[in-house]
This record gives sequence, structure tokens and C-alpha cells, in this order.
Amino acid sequence: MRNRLKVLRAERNWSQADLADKLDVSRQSVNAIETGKYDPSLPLAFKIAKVFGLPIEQIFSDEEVAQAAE
Amino acid sequence: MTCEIEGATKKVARQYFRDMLGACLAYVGVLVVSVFVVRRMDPPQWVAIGLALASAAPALLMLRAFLRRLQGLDEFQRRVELEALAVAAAVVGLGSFTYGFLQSFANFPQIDDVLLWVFPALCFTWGIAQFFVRRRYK
Repeated sequence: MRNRLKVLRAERNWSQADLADKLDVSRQSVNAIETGKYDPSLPLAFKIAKVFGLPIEQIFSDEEVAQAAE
Repeated sequence: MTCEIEGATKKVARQYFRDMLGACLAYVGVLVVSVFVVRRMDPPQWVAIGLALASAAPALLMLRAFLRRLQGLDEFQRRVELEALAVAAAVVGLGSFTYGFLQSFANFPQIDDVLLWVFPALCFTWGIAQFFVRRRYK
């Protein structure tokens, strides 16, 4: 799964620690999600969408669909 | 189980440290009394069995500390810890299984009180495995 977490975070000038605080998770978790090493659960994905004020599909996309679109 | 606290939130880590310290102190206290009674007083069998079970009981406190910590972690940290635990269980299980065959077939030395070492080996290997599992997610 792909995500735009790093870009969205940079647009808001948030550090990984800032985002981790808002999501109530560890900074390592944010880093693992950003680098695509870990896909969050649906509840956490919705929480991320809520923090950024965006629909979930504008943050996360399917890898194969994204590659097909490129 | 181990005193590894890296990656946990501070609150969870503090709680874990308190729980584990209590469990460790209980373990040392019970063990000192048990060893003293068994070695110096030659107690009847039922007392020896009671002391053996009492010596293992603080491990339940350690298990409680571990479970409380696990519940307090976020989903990613929990996944790392459980993956590491699975690796540790596989390593210790396969290691002891293999050594059992070596003892039976190749006359490798018998290790005294070998079962006592399984739990500490699991905790130790779990700590090591966490390092490698965490690295995989960086």
C-alpha cells in the first residue's frame, strides 16, 4: 500500500514526533508507515485521515492501482 | 519477561519497569527462602513441591507485566514484539529439540536442570530478536 503521509506532514510542518503525538502512537510507528514498511490497521488509517482532515483514499492507495496509473 | 523497554511509550515503560521490578524482587525473595529451606532443612516432599511451585509463581507476575505492557503499546510496536516472540519461541524450541537429539544419538553432555534454562533462554532470545525485527522495519 502507498501513502502520502510524508508529503502531507511536510505541508503542515509537522515532525514525525508531532504526528505521533496527534495519533497517540510511537514515532517509530509513524516512520514505519511513512516508509511503507508497515500498513496501518483500518482504525488507525481512519484516525490518520481525521488528523489530516482528508478522505482516507487521498492518503492511502493500492500499490498495483497506483503503478497502473503511472 | 525481559527488562527491554525500547520503543514503548514512557508511561507504558514506567509501568512495565515497576511491575517487572516487583516481580523480580518477589522472585529473588522466594528463591532465597526456597533454596535455604531445601538445602538446609531437608523438608518433606510436599513442602519441597510447594517451594518449587512458589519459586515459579513470580513468573506469573512477569507474565502479567508483559501482557500489561503489550496492551499499552500501539499496534506497530505490538506487532514487532509479537514477531520477535515468535522468532524467540522458534529458536529456543528448535534449539532444545535439536540438542535433545544430540544427547540421545551422539552422547552430548547432559545439562543439569536444563528445564530451568528454557524460560530465561526464551526471554534472552526475545530481547535479541527484537533488535533484528525492529531493524527490518527501519
